[in-house]
Amino acid sequence: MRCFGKRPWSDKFGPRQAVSTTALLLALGTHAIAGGPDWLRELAQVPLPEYPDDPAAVMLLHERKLTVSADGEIEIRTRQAFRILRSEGRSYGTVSVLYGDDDHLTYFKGWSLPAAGKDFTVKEKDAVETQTFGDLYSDRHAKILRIPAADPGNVIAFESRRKSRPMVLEDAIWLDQEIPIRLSRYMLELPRGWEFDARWVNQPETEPRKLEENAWVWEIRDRPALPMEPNMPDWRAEAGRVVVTLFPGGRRGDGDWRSLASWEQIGRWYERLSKPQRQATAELREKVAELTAHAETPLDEIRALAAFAQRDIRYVAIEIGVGAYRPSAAPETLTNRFGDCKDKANLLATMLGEIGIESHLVLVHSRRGVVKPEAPSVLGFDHVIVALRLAEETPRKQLYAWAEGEPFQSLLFFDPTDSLTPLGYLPTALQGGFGLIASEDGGDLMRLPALPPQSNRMLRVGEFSLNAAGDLSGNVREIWWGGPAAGRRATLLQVPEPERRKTQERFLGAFLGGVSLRSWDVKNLENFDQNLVVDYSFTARDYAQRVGDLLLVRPKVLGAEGIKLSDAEDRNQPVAFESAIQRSDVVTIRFPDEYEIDELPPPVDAPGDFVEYHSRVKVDGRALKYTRTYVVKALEAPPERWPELKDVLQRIADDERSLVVLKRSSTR
Amino acid sequence: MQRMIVVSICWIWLFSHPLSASEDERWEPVPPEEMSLAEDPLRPGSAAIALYREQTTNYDKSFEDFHFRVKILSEEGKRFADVELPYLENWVEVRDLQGRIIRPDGTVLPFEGAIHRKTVARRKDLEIYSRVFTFPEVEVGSILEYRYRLEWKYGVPAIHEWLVQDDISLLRGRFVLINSVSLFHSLRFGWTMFFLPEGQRLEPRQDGSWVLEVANIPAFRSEEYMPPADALRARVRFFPEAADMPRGSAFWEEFGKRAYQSEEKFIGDSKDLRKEALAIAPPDLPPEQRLRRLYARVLEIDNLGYPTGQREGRGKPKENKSAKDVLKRGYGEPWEVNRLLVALARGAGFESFVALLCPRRSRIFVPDMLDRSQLNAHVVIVRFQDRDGEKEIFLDPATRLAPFGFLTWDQTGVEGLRLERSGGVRIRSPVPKSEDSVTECKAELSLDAKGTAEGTVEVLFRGEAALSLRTKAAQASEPREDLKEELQGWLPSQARIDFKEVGPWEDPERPLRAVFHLQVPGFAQTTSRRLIVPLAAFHLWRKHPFASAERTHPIYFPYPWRELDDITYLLPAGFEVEAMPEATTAPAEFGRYRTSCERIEGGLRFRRELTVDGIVFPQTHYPILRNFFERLREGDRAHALLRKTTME
Repeated sequence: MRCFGKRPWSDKFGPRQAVSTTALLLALGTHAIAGGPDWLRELAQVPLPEYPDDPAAVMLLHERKLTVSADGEIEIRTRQAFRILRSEGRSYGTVSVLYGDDDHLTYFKGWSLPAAGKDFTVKEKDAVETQTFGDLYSDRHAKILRIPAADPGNVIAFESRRKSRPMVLEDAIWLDQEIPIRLSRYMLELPRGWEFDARWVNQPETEPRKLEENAWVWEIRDRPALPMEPNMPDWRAEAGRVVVTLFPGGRRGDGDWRSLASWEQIGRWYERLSKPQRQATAELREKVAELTAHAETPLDEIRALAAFAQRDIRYVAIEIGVGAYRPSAAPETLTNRFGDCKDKANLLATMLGEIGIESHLVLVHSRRGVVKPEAPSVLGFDHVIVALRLAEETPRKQLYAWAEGEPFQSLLFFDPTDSLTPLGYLPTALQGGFGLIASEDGGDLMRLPALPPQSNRMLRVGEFSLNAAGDLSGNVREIWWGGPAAGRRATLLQVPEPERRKTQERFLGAFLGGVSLRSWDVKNLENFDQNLVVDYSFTARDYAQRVGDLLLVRPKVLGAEGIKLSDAEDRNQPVAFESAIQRSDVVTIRFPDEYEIDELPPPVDAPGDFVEYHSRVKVDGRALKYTRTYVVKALEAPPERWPELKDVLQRIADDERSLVVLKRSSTR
Repeated sequence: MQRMIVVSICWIWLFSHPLSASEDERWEPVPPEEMSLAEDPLRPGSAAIALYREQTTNYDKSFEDFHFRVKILSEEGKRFADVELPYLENWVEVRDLQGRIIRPDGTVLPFEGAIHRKTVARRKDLEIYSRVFTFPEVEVGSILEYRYRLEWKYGVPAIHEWLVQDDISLLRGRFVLINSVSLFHSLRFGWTMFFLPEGQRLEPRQDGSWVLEVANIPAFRSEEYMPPADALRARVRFFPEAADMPRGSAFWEEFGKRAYQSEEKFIGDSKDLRKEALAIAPPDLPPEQRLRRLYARVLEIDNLGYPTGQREGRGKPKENKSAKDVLKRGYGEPWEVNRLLVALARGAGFESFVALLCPRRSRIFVPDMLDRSQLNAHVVIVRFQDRDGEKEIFLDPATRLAPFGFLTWDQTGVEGLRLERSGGVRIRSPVPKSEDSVTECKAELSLDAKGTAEGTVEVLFRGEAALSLRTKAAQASEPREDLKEELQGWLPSQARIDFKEVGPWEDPERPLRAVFHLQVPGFAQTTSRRLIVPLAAFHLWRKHPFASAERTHPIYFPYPWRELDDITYLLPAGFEVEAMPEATTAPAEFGRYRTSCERIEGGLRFRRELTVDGIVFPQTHYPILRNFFERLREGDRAHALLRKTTME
């Protein structure tokens, strides 16, 4: 999702969707001519150091030059050069430049300098242009160029230049890639009297070198590769970057609404931009009255309006010009019954205002950790949600998404764009990140709530009986709360109803052989405020294995907990969890009379600061009682704690495969 | 080898100017039974249903009219309110677009929203855009209706399709063909109907048009392991027929004759090639050996069907006019590579032919559909005599890493034509067997008292199993890493694989071999008295392919295959075998599955064989097939129990 703002920065991975859509055209080939610029030839001559991690490629140069002309027009020149070291590095030969309808792409060329043979040049006319970014329509474009001979040993490069008059005088450069960077360079040329602020993220502040009057350059050499590891946070949360805000002459502070260098300024700017769009009309008031007519409490009224914005306003992103930032007028969104994230948030805020509830639009990034308090930035946001100020006496039962802080004291956060996460909860990707509360008094950056495990739960209760042939049959009830409920609902709702039963069969098929689903029923699938309840019964043939006079029974029966283990001894990146959760299984298996317990798996008690796991198998008469609880207690575990986390995950994996040994009674 | 990329122009829904701002009186009223419809009677629970759809394809005037009426049946169905319609800018123009929304209460709202033009992909020589718009005020129960005309600048394409069965059910549909004036001059025009309900067919009308009226076409649903979707959907395919071509079975004979002439023109009869062929394959060698030498020589040609970095960016190479050019210049398009083999084989005295096949990756050959584009795979047939009599062998050097005598799976067991001077002769390519694709695993794994398994594993991939890995490796990234990922998928995630030897990647005549050191912590479960050892080490984490009890479509495997495992488990000190699973056998008409476990000195030996010898199975066979794979899963979960002999 990206329903707020322009994509300004040189994203490392570029427009991936665009690449896939245009793969066919790119495959048709390019017609290259010889030649490469001097700056590239010089770079290609420089010998490389030894890289112990055997990277796929090395970025020889990552340069971004921003020049502001006297009339305020901004030109951004980007140069990137790579030496391909392994065949996996061939993907660096596909490069892209992003621009908007109002921008002017003036130059786009790529070069290839093979280790042997002639150089190649490809030009803008060889590029494929696309606007397919996942939204229905936006005025952003990408041009994608495939540089020939991006093979091991060769050097490839491109340069792009575009001119624009952006709404926001802000720029940034990423300092990390998944390959080493020999030289990152950021250059700034401003008209006389213009000033700038530079803020650094995941990188100590570096002083620029002054080139001439109002021209500076920052250089960082030999940056190692950003390690990409499974289950790591979003790469943008970990990568270094510099965010630069420009100030036209003498207008620092609130003098120019395009120059926003503090959270306070950004929050005020967004409030002023969006507030005129929150004018209620008679039709809107009528709708609010209709929706709240049967509400018994103020909280019921809020729930009714939230559900309307969430479910009856279809998510459709159409972003043109200022529409990338400014929401549509609330009455228009109401009439259309569609809108993007800011439209939905803005409509809800307007409706809440009609019942006397104060609320604020909140700018966030849809990936946790990308917004950094130390680097105020408009372009770092890509999503808008709502924060509600509720009366002290509002009952808080089942409202978990609270955050406290000055000056707003207590706010309840809600994302009307996520159609499955009800009021009181917050989508998992937003939890624990930062959000900027838009306000006329100036914005305030707050940490969004991280919901406790108890609010995100799943309980599975299974009652089974096992016969002497090893066949297992029985009933299961699953109760889902919070984030897991939203995820399960999404899985079910995204397939046509006639196909939904098959999702349950596939789930069972992942754990059981010879399984036959006898019944299946889902309650509250579309009552998002209620717990999701799934009841099913099945038979699994030969569930227990007969080995001689022994019968091996896996007491866990269903489900897999933990994240995928890797064989890595250590990590460089934190381990990120989707959310704090608690999942429990309570399984009863009546075993056949002909058998007695011979051996039970040992209990598992794996406490931990991040993940905790406990399991027990007990005998209760002629039944096995298996219980287990898996709790994720934090959103992230630092890399140095990986060994202890890995140990817990390994113990979970071992427990899930553990078997009870039953022995035929007559042979005892 | 695929002869060409088939450009599919099936469904390009086109829009251009903003929708008409006013309600048009020509809209037909929606019948009351459709207004009140709340459920898809054909697929209950569906998100939306097409109440009515009309498509008029007018070859006389080069346009098509489209009309859609869709009812939203659930919240999920609201996504049908977003309409995105890609089109080729240089080929078509869109006109007369109109839309309306009928609310659940029956009030009608003309569509007045904006239509955007979105660049899907634009390059100097090709421009694909889409028209995008979204209907406002959509509720469950709303009916969305829109229509437009698509004007083809150079005539409606001769190869064209009405896709009658879509992803939502169709209650009523009307498809009209107007083709009274031949736009194709020397071409006639034919069509074939697929999977239409009984009695629903294209009927001639007095005005010269042809009309197909359909009703109750259920939504198409995909399933795993099903034949190509295009071979199952209800549709009508149009194709050109040259006026001078016969109809019926004579069509293919005549087509074969013409294709033969075109092939022969390229293959030629060059003295130089004959000389070269005899030098490569001297007549004193056995025939098959001679042929293998010729095949190996042809594989040395730089096959332009496979991109390489060295060739990239150097512009289009000079066009070959003959097989002689291919040999002289050392490069060629895939079909030119095959033609060179025919030329060399003939030069060496073999009887050889070009054959055209209908690859089954995306379709099944339909002889009644007189559409030559069905036969878009190009292979070689060579006949020779050896001690066992006359042999006929299919070869495809155009598939760069295919071993001698091997066709890729999509070219096996399919119909086609052998091109001869007298015409095309209907043939069927050899049906693949399980021994054509074998994966063999041999391992010796030592267990320790903590349950870790460690040792050396050798995996051999033969036939299709090797070809697909080699092709992937040749085209993509680091071959060893790709293979490691493949192997890692067979094993628990904590398994550590360290390659000792991998290859050969470029020699198709030898199996692809991977030898590696494997370490799997926690492989066996430890208890206070036992080690519980899973035996089918390479199949423990595979998913059930047929978890669902229901099946709509036939079951379709790309090719038959065989898996052979031979694993030795060496016991840790202080343990003895307490119990082992009994041998399993699951024979079936289409293959077999068997496992056995035996004691050996110091350990256990587990052997497993899976053979699946079939490609297509009717859905009536689903229970049998499902049962077979369930027994396989049960067998693969077999454990041996090791007992401690000394208590700590």
